Amino acid sequence: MVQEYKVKGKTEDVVADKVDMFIKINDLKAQNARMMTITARDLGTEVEVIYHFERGFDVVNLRLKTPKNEPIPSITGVFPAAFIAENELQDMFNIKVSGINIDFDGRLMKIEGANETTLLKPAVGPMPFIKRFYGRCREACPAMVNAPKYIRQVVMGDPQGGYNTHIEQAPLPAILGRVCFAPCEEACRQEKNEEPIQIRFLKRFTADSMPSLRRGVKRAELTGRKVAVVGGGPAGVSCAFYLGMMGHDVTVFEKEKGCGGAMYWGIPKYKLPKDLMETEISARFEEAGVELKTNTEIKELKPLLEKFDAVFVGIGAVDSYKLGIEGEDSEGVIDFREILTTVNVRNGTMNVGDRVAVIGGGNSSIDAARTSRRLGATRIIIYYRRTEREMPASTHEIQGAIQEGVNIEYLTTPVKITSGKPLKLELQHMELGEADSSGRRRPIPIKGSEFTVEVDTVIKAIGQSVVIPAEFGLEVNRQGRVVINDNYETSMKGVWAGGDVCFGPKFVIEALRDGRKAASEIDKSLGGEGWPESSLDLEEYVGRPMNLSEIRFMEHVQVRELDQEERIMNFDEVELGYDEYEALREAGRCWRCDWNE
Amino acid sequence: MSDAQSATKKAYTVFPFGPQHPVLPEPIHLRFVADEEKIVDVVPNLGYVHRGIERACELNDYKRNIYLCERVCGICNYIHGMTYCGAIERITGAEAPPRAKYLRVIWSELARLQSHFLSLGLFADAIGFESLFMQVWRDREIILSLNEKTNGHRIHLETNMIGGCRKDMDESMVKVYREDLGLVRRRVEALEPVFHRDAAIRGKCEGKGILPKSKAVFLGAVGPTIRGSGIPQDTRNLGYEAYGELDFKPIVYEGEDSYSRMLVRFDEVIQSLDLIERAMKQMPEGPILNKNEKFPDGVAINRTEQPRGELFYYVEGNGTNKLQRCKIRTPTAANIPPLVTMLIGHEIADIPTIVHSIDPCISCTERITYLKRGK
Repeated sequence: MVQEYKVKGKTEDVVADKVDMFIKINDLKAQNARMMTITARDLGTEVEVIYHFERGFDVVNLRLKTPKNEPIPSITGVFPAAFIAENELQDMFNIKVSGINIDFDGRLMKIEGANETTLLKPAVGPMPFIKRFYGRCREACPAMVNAPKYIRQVVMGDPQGGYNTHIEQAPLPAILGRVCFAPCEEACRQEKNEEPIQIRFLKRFTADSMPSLRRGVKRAELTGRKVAVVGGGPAGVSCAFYLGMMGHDVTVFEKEKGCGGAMYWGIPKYKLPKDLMETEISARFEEAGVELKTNTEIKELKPLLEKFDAVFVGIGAVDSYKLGIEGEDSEGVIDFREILTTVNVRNGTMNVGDRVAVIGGGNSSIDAARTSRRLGATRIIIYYRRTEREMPASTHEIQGAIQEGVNIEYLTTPVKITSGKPLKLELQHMELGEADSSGRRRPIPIKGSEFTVEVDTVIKAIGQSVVIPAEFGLEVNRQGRVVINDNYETSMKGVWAGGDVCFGPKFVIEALRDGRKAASEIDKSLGGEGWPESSLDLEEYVGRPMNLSEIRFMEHVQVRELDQEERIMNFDEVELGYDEYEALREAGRCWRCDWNE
Repeated sequence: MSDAQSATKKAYTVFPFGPQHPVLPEPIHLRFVADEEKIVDVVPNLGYVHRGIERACELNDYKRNIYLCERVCGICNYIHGMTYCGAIERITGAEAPPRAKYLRVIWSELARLQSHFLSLGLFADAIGFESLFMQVWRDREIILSLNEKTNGHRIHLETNMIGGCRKDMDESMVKVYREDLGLVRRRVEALEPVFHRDAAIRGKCEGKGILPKSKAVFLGAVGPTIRGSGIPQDTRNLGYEAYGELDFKPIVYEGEDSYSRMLVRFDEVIQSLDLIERAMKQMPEGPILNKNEKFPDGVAINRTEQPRGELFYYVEGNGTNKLQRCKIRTPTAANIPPLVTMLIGHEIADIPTIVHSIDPCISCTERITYLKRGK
């Protein structure tokens, strides 16, 4: 008769096999369990290996039975503390443990002449020199953000550190975690399994882990030099932040009532909550001591250059291209900027009717379509003149739109709009010909294929163009964009430029990169050393997780989303992000391909 | 973007530390890899005094194992015997009577006191504070002679039995305890400002041997090592033996460095004195042994708190007088992975204090490696 012992905690037995063992061990790690030790029992033909863990007051025993002479995988990739116990297993029971990793902080040192009693049993051979790669995700990123490092910081339970790592190259992780088109995920090695690591959501997790988004960092010593930044879009915010951190006095002039530029008016609220955007931008400005002047339009650069040592122009691409067809100015034909600005900036609503036709195939046309879905339209068709392969909108966005009931018709272009109520939109089918300057095949109209549809509203979304006020006196190219040299300097001395104003409509991350690089160049011209370029971090020790064969086949963690019925009713955020457990699971799938043995 | 395949080559110095070294009381070999004065890697190498105790436990009579287990460690031997007995008691159901539980608490806290004094003294020695080392060890002598007065031995008490204790204490003995421990308390109070404020000690160990909170759990640290990183992990929390009735709260420091770990030990000295005081006041009258001759048949895990951290016993009996398996995990074995991380990034001159900050007890740990035959 066994008496009940009066102690807290109980013992829990978990039976595992080699297949689900790592899932269970990763679960224990996510529950903050502590590795205690490993016991082995000899059962004749096989051996029972018991992993003991402490979880709260409880003891969890993970029991694994294995035939003798068959290797078991090492768990040091998850619990490095197990390496002593695993060496003991090898010595006392002749169980082969494959892939023991002494990767405490990401190092695997090989030392010559390790003897029999060495606990670690390092491989014999010359000591390797440290070798680092950028990693495929990092190379794919326009701003070269150190993604492998912040993924590791999430694994190590330091998401705040990950947030800081991100800001070294791009200052707005919380915003990017929601809107970035994530080229890193396309480059990820896990992409081979069609399930890349969800780097964007991990980035978002690092930001979600600090609700105020304020970091409490110090600026460099003040230099007393003054810089003006014209335009409060992503390029301007990035430039102002890095210049401020390098010790300059920065003033940002913004035409609208709030900062954010294209992120402010162009990105729908269901993707990027506007109060979060304002919080993050103001947090960066507070850290860098940036002065913000809203509702201030700059007409000329000359007076600015008298007051400031340098000027950065980042006014973006704000004008739209015209369709160039008959009836374009009829009532009911609107620009996508109109509908997005009404909803995002003025918090207003507009009557788009039931039937909406959207012309164009970019992300902005999808945004316009999804926004009109939320404004009450039910029959929405996007007309694009090429096929799905050439469509510039991201696949994720297209999927989201189709889920919400938006139809897309390819190889179709408008030829004429007849005013009236409803509007009569005449369209024409196309076929693909030779490749043009952008590398995409040129659409050629098919004669006699015209047809007409009746719609309430036509939304034009065929791209934005750059318009520079002539009073600026900057040299522009054929497309009306500002001409800059390799150092982001314009034709006027003391004036730098970057972002959409130089390269046409691009992604947020590219504008942030331009801002950082221009800030670095401005600092150099003012006598500083510039912001450090994104380079290999040799100080951080990186190791390869040894259970690579396991993690290769781990499925990615799906992000939680709002229900389809619920999300077309309002402008709430659709993606809900990861919680801590999901983020750990997802970040644990990283291969660490920036490390080389 | 730029050169993706760029790599850097660095030259390192590899030098040995131990197994025979002035600051090491017991043999452990640490192989340091240094970049000039900075340590970049440490490879621990154990196995110099392996004694095969776990195997011997399977060959011995299970009752004689008590004395064998007490010889696993030379400092905290009492707790080893107590943990082994506790595990067997769990299997056979021979729970110790309440008075025996209180006696076990008193003697294990005495073991903790003398161990912490030893450790604090060696720590002072590693810093180069010779007079403090002498003073601390003089105070330790009071406790050792107290052990001798009550049990007849200075270190190996050997008062454990399966189901209770071998020896009891009467009123006159309690009086002797009170007097001697009162003396120790006065001495400790005199030492307190030295440990808490002395500039030499602080300068040598503040900010050295950093073990961040997240890593402490991740690497499985135990005892004062994890409590110095701000985590209240203490097996006494479970309330084994009589700890559940003594209003025990673990001592925690948030500094994450060598200094915090040393302060945890110093404050635990005062806490141990309080616990003994309270245990002697609350100790009930009654029998001290619950005799049970049944052979163990079953599995039990018993965890207790040693001066260096959590002690882990896995005992499996098969219904005969010999055990099927006895697995011992001593706290220093769990603290070696954190030690390796603690050392990295610090200077060679800081090695002695950082190694001492985990209070290594190598003879406990040494049993774990099995020397190859013919070596």
